[in-house]
Amino acid sequence: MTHFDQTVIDAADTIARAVREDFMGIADEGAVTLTAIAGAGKSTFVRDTVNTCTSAGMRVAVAAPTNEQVFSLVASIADSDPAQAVAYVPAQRVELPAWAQRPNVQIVRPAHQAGNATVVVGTIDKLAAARNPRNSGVPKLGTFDALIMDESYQASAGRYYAVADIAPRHLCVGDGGQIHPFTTVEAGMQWRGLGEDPLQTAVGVLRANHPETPLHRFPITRRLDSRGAHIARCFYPSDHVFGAAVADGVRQMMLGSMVAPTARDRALDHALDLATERGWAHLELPARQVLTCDPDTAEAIVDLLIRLRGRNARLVCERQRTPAPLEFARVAVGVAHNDQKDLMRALLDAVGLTTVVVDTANRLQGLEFDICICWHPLAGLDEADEFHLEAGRMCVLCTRHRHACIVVGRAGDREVVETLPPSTPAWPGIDADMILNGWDAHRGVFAGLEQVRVAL
Amino acid sequence: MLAARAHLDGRALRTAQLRHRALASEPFGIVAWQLGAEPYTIAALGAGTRAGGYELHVPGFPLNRDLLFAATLVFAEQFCTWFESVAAGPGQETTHFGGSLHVPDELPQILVANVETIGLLGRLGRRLAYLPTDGDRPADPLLPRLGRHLMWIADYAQTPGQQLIVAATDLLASHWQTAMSTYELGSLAALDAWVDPPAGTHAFHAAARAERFPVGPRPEHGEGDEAQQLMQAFNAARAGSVDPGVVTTLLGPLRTFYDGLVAGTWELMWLAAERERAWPEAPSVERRAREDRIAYAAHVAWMDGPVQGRRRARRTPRAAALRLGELEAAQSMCVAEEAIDDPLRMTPVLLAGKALAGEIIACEADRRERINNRNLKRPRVTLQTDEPCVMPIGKGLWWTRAAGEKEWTVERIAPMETGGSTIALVLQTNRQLSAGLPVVGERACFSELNTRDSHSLYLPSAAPWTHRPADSSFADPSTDIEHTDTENEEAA
Repeated sequence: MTHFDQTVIDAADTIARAVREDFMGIADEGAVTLTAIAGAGKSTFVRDTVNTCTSAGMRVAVAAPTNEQVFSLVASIADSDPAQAVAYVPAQRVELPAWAQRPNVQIVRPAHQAGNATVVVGTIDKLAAARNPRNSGVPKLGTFDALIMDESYQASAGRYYAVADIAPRHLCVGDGGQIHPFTTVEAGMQWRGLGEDPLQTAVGVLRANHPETPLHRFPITRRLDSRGAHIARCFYPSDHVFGAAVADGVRQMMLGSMVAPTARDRALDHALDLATERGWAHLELPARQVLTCDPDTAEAIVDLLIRLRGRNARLVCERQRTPAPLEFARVAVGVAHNDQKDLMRALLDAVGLTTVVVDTANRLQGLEFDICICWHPLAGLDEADEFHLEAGRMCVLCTRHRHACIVVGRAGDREVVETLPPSTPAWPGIDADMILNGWDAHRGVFAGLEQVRVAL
Repeated sequence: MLAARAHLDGRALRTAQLRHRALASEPFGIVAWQLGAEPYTIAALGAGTRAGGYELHVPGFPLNRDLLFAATLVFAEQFCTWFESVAAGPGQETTHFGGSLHVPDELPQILVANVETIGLLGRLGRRLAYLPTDGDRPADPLLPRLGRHLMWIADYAQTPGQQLIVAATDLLASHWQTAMSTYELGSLAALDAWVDPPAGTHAFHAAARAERFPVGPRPEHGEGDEAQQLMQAFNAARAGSVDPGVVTTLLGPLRTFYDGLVAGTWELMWLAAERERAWPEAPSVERRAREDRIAYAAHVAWMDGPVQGRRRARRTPRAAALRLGELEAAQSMCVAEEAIDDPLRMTPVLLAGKALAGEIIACEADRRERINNRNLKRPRVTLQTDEPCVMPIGKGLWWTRAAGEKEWTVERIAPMETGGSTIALVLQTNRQLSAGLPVVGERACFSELNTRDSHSLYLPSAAPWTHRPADSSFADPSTDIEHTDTENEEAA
């Protein structure tokens, strides 16, 4: 049995080679951008490109927006070549977690002492502060030959500004479908569509000022299988073609049997069975308008996870070819709001599901799980606003899983996006309409989940 | 939920126990009417302090540049004299971007009816700010001066929590909960009707009636038609003349007409302001007013500087990013200060699970723990809440009485049979807090909100190649809107 779809993998390799060629071919100042969908192996690509650069005698700075992303990068780059020292520059009061520590990782404080390192890794803000210190008495971190930035659609132009002079050659890798930079201040929108907009993405500002910058697209997802990729297409432009690297039927989940005394248990079982079979389930509570932190929805998610625990799920995949029990640390509950997160955490801890990861979509970006439970952002809303409609948020929640994703919401949620779309503000110079994109994406997801809907 | 309560009660609900905006003893009021859909043109301006009453400025036919500028010039004399006189008043010397700055003790506050008026003043400012003062048809130098003031004021008005220019609609909407939509909240008359409906009338009906009352600046209540007729008669009578002697005598009917409109809004605006003035001022208002006074002093100094207040029409990428950072910092600071000052403002934070409040049942002031092999003092308090607490262990919280100092972390949470929780919090420093420690038996509130300086962006003065268009050059740095270049010279 073949475990992979070789044509998809070959196509991705071709693009990866083309990106590296373009990147290594930059003569003076220039950049190459690569946009990829969730779980395309961006981090692997970044790691391999770092090795390509160091083999060519280049010194590389590697940056990502958040600490968690940087931890993963540090571990992955250090693992790929144990002989290559990796300098990690942490921000104040940030410690490299034990799982990311390697013998060849050097933690450099203060950051400017990393000036001679071949590979330096840090958050965008930390590298920026080291390169351009506020206090002129602090020595500056020197320049590098190349800057490789992961998750560059999450980095705003304002933050990119501070780090951009670290190297003449930039490689910006990222996922255009995820959550974009945002602000809570209304007046922050005043620059939309203008060149100076600090809230455009790093890729956006690069392409606005240097339109000749090559834009490559990765045609692959390694995390999702074809069942997952089917829904993920709702979040990307139709001309971004991609396929799943894993062949159909390779990822399997097996559930044990368990007595289902109540109708609620039977509905939960049905959802779990659908998730097993189709990779998706959409569990709907009765239609009702509720506050964002709705205890009924939280309880439904807890019951679902208790049921999943009771049915002894076992998983088979391309990495694990004999059935192995599902680890609950590989299960995530993704939510839209922090209060939902706090409530879920408390309820899950109370029933002993302490290892299940609960977080908001923003903080789940870049992470991977076997099973993801998605608290639908529109659940119980009476009206869809920009925050809840944002396609990026739903995209993150729907693309974290390798095996199955169960969306939990309310029966009336679909109706929120079935009416006429709202009138939306427009800005000269901006074609994309975030609200309508989100509107369309949500409709697409609801339609895609039509066959796997279960009423609770 | 509060909107439903407001509807049930038939009047607006107060959302704050205090007043979170400064109100100067003698603010300068401006009521403006725009000419039809001409966004850069004023048809009437009423301006003055409450005690002094308003002076009415009516150009007559505002589409005529000479008439518009003649009337605006009189307003400019009145406004600039007042606005600039404050800067010369008693104050303190501070250092600002390396230079010395005289910051007046008085806040020059402008009061307008609504946010649209601020927009109209800003647009009028944009029209005047760069008028040529020489050549064939020179403008009076006072007009560009007024324009530059107004442009700056309108831009500064975007700063969350600023009090230099206060819109009465904002003042009411931020302190009262009505059952109106965002659009309806734009009407000062309707808001006023919700806050103080006539006895025996439900606010909904009072507001529905009040909404028909014209407030300006856009003529949306049919007043444009009458203005149009009067203007036509005025134009016919003046027969193309712009001679002040001819025009002034003919302006009578138009002045009477606009006087009626301005008087209504004037009354409403001061009523709202005076009613709010009766509420005690929140403690943090003083700090924000100081920020406003510094910004004002810096603006006046810039006006009197070598470039006479010229600013870039568009910000550089660097200035835009820094400004965004400033706005975000001001916003979070304002939200935190209001909640910390005012228990009613803290309620939504408590409901959202971002704060906890309860009675202190234990305080271990001399508790020590081993950190990095050192035995350090880490005081611990234990409190009991009435509501269950679902915060994660390790979360950082600030005591409302020391919100600008070190945080406390949640050490453990135990549910109680009464439905509440017992929570232990550990202070993350061995230093004494300025307010001491919470005392056993008193109620204390700990929240996520704090008034510490947020991380501020620092950007190099030279734009990196990524942020420079391949084919453009940047404007003369001497018109540097945020002093961002001077700031760097000092750093260097």
